[in-house]
Amino acid sequence: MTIDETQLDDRLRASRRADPVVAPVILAELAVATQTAARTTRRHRIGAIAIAGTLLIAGGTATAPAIADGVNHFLAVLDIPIGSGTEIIEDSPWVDPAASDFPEFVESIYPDYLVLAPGWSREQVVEAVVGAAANSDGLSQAIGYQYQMEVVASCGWAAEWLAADAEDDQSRLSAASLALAETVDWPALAAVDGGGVTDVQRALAEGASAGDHWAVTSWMQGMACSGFGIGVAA
Amino acid sequence: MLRLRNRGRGVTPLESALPELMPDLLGFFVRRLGHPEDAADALSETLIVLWRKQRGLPEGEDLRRYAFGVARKVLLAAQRGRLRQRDLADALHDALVDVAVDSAPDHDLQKALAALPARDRELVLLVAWEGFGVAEAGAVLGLRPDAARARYSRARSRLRSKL
Repeated sequence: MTIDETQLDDRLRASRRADPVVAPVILAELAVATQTAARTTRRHRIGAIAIAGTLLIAGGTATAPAIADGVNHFLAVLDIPIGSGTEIIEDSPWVDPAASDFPEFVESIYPDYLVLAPGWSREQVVEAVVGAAANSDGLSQAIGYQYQMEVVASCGWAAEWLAADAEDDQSRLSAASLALAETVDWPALAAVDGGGVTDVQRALAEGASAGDHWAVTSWMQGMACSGFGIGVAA
Repeated sequence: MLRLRNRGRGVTPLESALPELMPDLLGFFVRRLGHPEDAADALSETLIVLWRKQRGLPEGEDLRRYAFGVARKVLLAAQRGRLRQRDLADALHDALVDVAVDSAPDHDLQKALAALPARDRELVLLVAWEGFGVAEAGAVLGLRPDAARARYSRARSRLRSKL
């Protein structure tokens, strides 16, 4: 007994494994990596004159390697759709933390509006974010690093609040509580607020204002302040 | 659905095609290679060939057909264990770890397909799985349209007789 044409088509169709779903940024990274590999091989083949030409062509990338220029090109210029429900922020470039100029890049996007706790400097905030990025894989958007700098600054104020609370220093407690209330409006925190980050920040501010030691320590643990070298006991 | 905007840098035909072409090619390899990691490497190798040839590439549907022709050759190399490992696709490897295996494979169909000559089998699958017309699939495999149609018809008859 044989099957008919329609039955054959049905079985062929049913046996087709679906296309795997892969994030556009992963495909964009691969497109850039393979383009670079193809260029490199060709460069070896045709010699030193071509090397100069290739470097000139790639000049835009060479000026700012932390900006993953090729990936941004594929994501932005090619109009690749990004699914809803992601935390990808429009117009924020993708950045490679492994690039040699990454520390300078983070410094260049430092949010000047940050008000830092006593004992903290701009350089320390940048250093904390760059140090944490060294332990991560893959690309992140620039706004993600601004967000991290806002978190580091918040962690600094939370640690200051705990230290003041331990010493029962009401003046410092008040200053720290006011500073933590200001963090609710910091723009990167709000921009990446896909899952209620500002609600968490608001709860911290309210807890600090009410003298709630547990609210402050649990916020520090939840935001992984220790990953930036800022411990609960600091 | 969020769409990122065009920021003005020139776009080549290959670049324009890649957003649709890459998932298509990845699916092609995933359906034919046992391990998803191999599919990632095969896609990587295919893209390198396309980048190298991009100045002479056709456009539109012809580009898709050409790309699958390259992919077919890469597939043959992969099936012979001759795929070059370049470590370019690590992130894609990770992304493919959870790709589901076929939970209820049609063993009889697999057996019948395996009994076909390799080029006839691929002809049938390019039409059934990748959405090519018979003549287009034939072009991917280097067959003239009339030869592709004859082979396709014969392959389907053989499949039907075995199922």
